Amino acid sequence: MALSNMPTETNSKSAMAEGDVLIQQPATPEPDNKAPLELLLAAAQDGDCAAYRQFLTRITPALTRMISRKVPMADVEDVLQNILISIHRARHTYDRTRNVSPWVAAIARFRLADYFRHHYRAEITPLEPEMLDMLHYQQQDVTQEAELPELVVEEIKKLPPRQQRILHLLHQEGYTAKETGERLGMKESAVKVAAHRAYKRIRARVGRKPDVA
Amino acid sequence: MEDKGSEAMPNGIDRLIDELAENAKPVECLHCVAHYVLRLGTVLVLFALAVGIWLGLRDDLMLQWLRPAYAVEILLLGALALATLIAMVQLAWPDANSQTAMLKMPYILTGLLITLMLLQILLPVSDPIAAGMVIPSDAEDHHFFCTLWIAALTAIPSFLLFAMLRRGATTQPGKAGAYAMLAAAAVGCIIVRLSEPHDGITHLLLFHYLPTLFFAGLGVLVGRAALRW
Repeated sequence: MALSNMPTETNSKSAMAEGDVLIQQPATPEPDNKAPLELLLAAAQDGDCAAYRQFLTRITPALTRMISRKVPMADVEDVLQNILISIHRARHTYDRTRNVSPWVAAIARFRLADYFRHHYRAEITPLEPEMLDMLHYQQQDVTQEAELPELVVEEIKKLPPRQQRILHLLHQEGYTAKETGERLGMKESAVKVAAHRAYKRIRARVGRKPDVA
Repeated sequence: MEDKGSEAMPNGIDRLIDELAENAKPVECLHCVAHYVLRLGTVLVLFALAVGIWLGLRDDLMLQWLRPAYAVEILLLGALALATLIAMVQLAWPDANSQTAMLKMPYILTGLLITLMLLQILLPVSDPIAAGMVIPSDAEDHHFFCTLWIAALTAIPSFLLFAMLRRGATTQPGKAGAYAMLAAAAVGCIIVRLSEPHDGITHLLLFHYLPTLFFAGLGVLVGRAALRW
C-alpha cells in the first residue's frame, strides 16, 4: 500500500499554489440534497464531514448499480467498499474546476479491473458468474429450488457434444477458457462464444419449462 | 452520477461511510498540471545542463546543427521529453485530468523519431563525411557505453518523476511508469547526442533508441509495482 506516501492530512486549509484556478466558493456550503456533488466533494476536501457523508451517500446507489451489472451479487458489497475507500484515499486529487463524474467513474473502473484481475486468476472461471446469474434469474420460488439444477443438467445433456465438453471442462473440471481451448484445440474466444451460446440455449429452454406444481 | 432516490444500503456500507466521513480531515490537494510540469521540467533542464557541462559538448556541434537530420532529431527528442512529461503528470490524476488527447503524443513523437532514423537508413546521405557525419568504426567498442550512459541518465531523474506520481492516484500505473522512464530517457538521449560525436544510424538505433524503448517497457513493470495505492 502507498499510504505512507500519500499526502498528509493537515488540520488547516492548504494554500492554493500560484497559478491554480480558484473557484470562488461560498464558505462551506450547507449540505443538502440540492448541492451539486462537486461542491460537496470540494467541501469534503476542506474537512466538512457532513458534506463528505452526503457525497458518499449520494454516489453509492449509482456505483452499486454499475457494479451489479458486472460482478456477482455476493461480491458487490466488497467491491463497493473498495471503491469508496479508494475515493477516500484519492480525494486530494479531485480538481474542483472539473466535473466529478469522470473522476469517480475512473476510480470505480480501476477497482473493478483489480477485482477481475484477482478474481479470475483464482479457480473460478470468467464464465461462472454468468452461469450463477442464470440460475438465480431462473429461480421462481423455493419449490423449484431443487428442480432447477436438474433441469439445467437435463438441458446440458441435449447440447451438442462439443458444447457439453466445454461446459464440463469449465465448470466441473475448473479450467479457464484459455486452458479449455488448449485441451480442445480451440481459441479462447471460440470457447467463450460456444459457452455463451450454450448458456443462451439452456436459459431459453429452462425458461419455457412449465412451472412445477 | 448520483441516484435521485436513496436506496437501502447494506449496513456495512453505512458503517463505512460513517467511518470515512469521520476521518474527513482537510487534505492538501494536488496543484495544477502546469505547476508540476514547470517544476519537473526545470529540474530536468538543469540536470541536463549540469551533466552536459560536465561531459562537454561535441566539438562539431555547431556544424551538426546545419545538418537537418541532426537538428530534427534533437528537436524531436526535446518534444518527446516535454510531451511525455506532460502526459505523465496528467496520469497522476485518476481520470488523467480529463484530458486524454495529450496521452497519445508520446506514441506519435516516438513513431516520428523512429521514422526519421529509418528514413536515414533507406535514404542514406551519399557522402557522410562531406555531410559532417561521424560514423563509428566497427573496431570501436564504445557502443555499449552509450547505452550505459543513457541508463544512468535515465535512472537519476526517474526517481523524481516517480515521486511526483506517488503523490497522485494514478489509475494507469503501467503507462504512468512507462512515461516517467521515457521522459527521463529522452533527456538522457539528448545529453548523449549533444556530447557524443557519433552519427551512425545503426549505432543510434541499436544503442540509443532501442534501449530507450526498453527502459519505457521497464517503466511499465516499475510503475505497476511502485504506483499502487
